[in-house]
Amino acid sequence: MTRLFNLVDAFSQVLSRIAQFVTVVLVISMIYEVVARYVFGAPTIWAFDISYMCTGTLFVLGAAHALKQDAHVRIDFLAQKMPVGLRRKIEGFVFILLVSPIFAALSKFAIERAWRAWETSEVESVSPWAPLMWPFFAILAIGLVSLTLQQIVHGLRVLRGDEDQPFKLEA
Amino acid sequence: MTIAALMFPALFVLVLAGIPIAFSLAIVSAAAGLAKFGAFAPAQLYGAFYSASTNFILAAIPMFVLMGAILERSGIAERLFRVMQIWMTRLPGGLAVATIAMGAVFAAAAGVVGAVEVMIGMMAIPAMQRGGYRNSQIAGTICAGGSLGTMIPPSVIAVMYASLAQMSVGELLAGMMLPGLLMVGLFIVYLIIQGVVAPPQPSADVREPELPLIEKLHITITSLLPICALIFAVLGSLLAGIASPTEAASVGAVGATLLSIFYRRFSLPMLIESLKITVRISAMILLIVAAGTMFMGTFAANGGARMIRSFVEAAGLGDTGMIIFFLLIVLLLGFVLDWTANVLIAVPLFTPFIRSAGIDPVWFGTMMIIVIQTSYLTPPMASSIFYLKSIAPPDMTYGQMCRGVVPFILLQLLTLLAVALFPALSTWLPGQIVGF
Repeated sequence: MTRLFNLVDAFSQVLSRIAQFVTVVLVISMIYEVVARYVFGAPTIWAFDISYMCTGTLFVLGAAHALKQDAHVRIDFLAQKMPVGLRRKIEGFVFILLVSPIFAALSKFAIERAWRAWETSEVESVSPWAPLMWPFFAILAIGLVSLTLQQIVHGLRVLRGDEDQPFKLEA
Repeated sequence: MTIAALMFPALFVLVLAGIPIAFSLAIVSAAAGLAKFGAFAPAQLYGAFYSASTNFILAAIPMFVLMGAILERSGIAERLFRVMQIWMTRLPGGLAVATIAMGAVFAAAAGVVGAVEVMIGMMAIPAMQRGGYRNSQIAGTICAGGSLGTMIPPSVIAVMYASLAQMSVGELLAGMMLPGLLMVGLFIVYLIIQGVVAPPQPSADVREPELPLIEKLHITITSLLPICALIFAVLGSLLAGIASPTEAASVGAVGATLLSIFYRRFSLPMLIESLKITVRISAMILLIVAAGTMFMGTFAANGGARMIRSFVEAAGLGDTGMIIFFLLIVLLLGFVLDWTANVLIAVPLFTPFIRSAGIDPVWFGTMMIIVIQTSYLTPPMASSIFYLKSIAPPDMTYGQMCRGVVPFILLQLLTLLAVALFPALSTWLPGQIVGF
């Protein structure tokens, strides 16, 4: 069980590494656009698509690892006054029975969406660059799947009391 | 409509039970979506998720965060704090003023809820304690300085607000400029008066040896000027309408990297650490954006907007009454939600009324952002205090923190009043800048 949990953690971590790389790509492509437009007077046709795709990618791929690090903001000044056992139960059941099924449904839809884009070779319709859309849809799907897995693992861990302080708040 | 009415109480229960805000929003939206769309709910929710993850303007957020992270991780921020200390130790309350000034300068990293605060807090708490400041004063100064990130451009809140209200980002940032400076000015005047009336009592003589003037100037020119140049480059290109927020943010991120190279502080581990912070914080913010978009989508589908409209109409509030009512809601939401969720919920809800009543959207936006900042500082549910607690020394109590922020809350309300009575404070500058 623990090994399975660690596998999910590792998957999230790899995705967040990719997200870090994508951040660099985002900055470089935007600064390239700035230089191309203002220095050479030749704006690119892909900067717009690249910027939103990078942003979407870095956030979806980073979300699971952020959960692992308990970086998603919560307001816990009331919850901190609850008995630890009760708080564990609330957190665990909410994550397993409510949060993860919702994200599982989203993941399923995201996978189908990516599959449809792949089958029809869908392209971005509003962009002059008209990139193929399935890679971006696939990234969203992968990110959602890893987030769902991490939610299940988080819920189980909290219920089992694996981590000494599952509710530490990162600044 | 019943479902729409139940959505907020359900959200508050989940948030107060300690569930992360993004997931609380997702749970409530999924329940409301199921009630309205049945089997089509996932498609509806995914649509909202997709639109949030493909928003062009939000691409500015990770890059502004990266800029802040690099400036902090490379030690440039600390260097700047030292320079400010050098110049301001002579001033009554000088250390406190330097802390506020740091908050104003590092507003850039504002998206990082509390990160500015934690950063300046870690530098300023030891220095101020040594300087003999009272704990409540230290706490108030740091919370207030940290909260300035919402008001001083390039504020990530303003980027998000403008993208939701379909306004020009540059226009809103320009509108917030004078009120933001006014607020900083009020803070500084208050701290100086405090420093004169009740000067801090250093336990021993800790005054640093006076540096020769030439030395001082040298440090200042090499530390202060480059950072100011960076900030002016980012803000200037944004406000002049030359660059989009995304482009300006990329200039900021690259500029911060160049600065760190210039100071010989650049290293691969530093860059990777900054990227880690950036991904973690951007994922946190944007997941709330995605979930908040779902929330507002299902809220509208269940008749939420109609509910608000009939309420506003039935209450027969005039324009002024409506503005006060909206700002009160924002203040209350701010106690329970963080700023991201607050903006996401409040802006789409109120913008139609503001527009149809012919109220200047920049003016209203400025006031709303001041209120969000105030709710961030107001006990008992002040996120700024929670962040401070995570870094405060053990001898600093919760009570001291709450007492410390009170004067700053009053000064913020004074700023709000000034903007409310003199709309020109926020509407004059945007009109002066070419490009709008």
